[in-house]
Amino acid sequence: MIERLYLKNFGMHHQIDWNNLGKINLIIGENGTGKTFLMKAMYTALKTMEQYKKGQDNQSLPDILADKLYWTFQPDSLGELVNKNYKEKLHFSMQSDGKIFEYSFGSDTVRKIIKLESESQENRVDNSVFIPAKEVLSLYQIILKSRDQDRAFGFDDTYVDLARALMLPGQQGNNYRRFAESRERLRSMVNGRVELDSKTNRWYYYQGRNTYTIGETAEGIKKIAIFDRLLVNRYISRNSVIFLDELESSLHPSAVVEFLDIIYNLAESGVQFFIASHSYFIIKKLFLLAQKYHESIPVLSLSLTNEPVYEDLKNGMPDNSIIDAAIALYSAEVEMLTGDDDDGDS
Amino acid sequence: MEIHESGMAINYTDDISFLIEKCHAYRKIRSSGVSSVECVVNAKKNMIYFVELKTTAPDKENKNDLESYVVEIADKFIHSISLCYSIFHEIQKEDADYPIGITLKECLGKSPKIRFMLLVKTIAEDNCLHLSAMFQKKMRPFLKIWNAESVIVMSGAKAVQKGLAVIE
Repeated sequence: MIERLYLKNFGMHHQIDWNNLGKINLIIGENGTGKTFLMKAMYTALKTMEQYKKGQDNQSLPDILADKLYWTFQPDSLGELVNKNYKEKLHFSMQSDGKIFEYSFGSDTVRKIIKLESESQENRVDNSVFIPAKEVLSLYQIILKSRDQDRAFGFDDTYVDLARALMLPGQQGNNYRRFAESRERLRSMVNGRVELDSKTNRWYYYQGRNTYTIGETAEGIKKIAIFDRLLVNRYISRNSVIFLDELESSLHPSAVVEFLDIIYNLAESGVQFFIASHSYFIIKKLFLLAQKYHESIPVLSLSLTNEPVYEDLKNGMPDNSIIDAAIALYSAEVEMLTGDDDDGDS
Repeated sequence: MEIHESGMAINYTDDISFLIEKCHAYRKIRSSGVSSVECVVNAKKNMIYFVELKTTAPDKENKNDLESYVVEIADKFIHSISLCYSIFHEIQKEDADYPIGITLKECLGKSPKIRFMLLVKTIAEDNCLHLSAMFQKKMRPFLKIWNAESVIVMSGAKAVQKGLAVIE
């Protein structure tokens, strides 16, 4: 579990110092404030620790990290990730499972990271997962080809890793109770299941007696099915960290709310979540969960003009532009209905 | 007319207001299950507000309390407009001590715009939005009949800002 994140001069971020992270963590902010960027920064660090000493892999931590940053952010040189508004180097520090992982480099860095320190010298066993806003099932062959054969930029490592994870076969046998419950609820949400046909190497959506190609399947179903698949093949385990980018995309608000109940259930069994969102429903539902279970749900509000704001849904709804937008719409309605916005004629 | 209720005060001249909750016609029939808002006001032009004041609103999480809160207030709006027009048409007797203001009475007879307004002293702004949506769902046919579009739920702070009430 990630307990603390500190970064400086990383991409558009000048300084983020996010402490006391919870099982579920929310990142909100307008477009272009760096929500996805921030999650990718955490993801690359975790993936580096996961790949380190895995099997026969004897790559060094700095080399794995450099590779991961390169394929996740896809810059021409790593130095492009350094915020040029400030003269200092990029600095990244993350504490997970009580151990610090930190590195820094300057704007002249091409592909080699010199300064990296990790308190853990072991391979991180549990997988982290990044679920991007766009679904990957219908594109997974193209995604894998772009990397494995063409070695081309386009789909970053969040897509590639997910496409590879989805290909792992399902596993039989008992799973953790909360995982099994979550799968049941996910399947009832999509009213069926999505599976990879090993003969055609294509994904299909099975609903009762009907079979649909993935192209015929609704986007929301694909999104939920991805999650189900990662539970079936046990890619997600109890200490996984899951990054959900724009969870709300393609999902009806009622599905978002149900999905968040499932996420809460999984978080209770140890899985940690980072959710980036623009959705009022997500903030409100997480607020209600925090209140109901007296649980800390840290919120990081990013802004184009102001410093980041660190809040906790346990202490109330955060003051932010998403809620402001909803209130502004309602205020406009009130203005209209009370005649301040028209001439008072019917 | 001056009302001090739920930690707020509202003040309108007698000619544009009607203290419906105090009037004899209401007091006579309230034991039959009739309920009433605080007052009726012709606050601007041809617009008539049916105004109810509350100190707080239940949290969205507490569904039972919220449901009964909405039903109770919806009844107040529904009963109040019936009672108001019943007095206006002299079906119920007008109270000399608490009459319908002259300007308000004129407005009642001239295709007014009807607005149902709930002012809650302490409520988060985004909860006003949720409550309004609940009233909309609960009272849809009634709101359609009166061409009222929705129930306006406003926080005490907003009501003060709009000059509708004073926080006490």
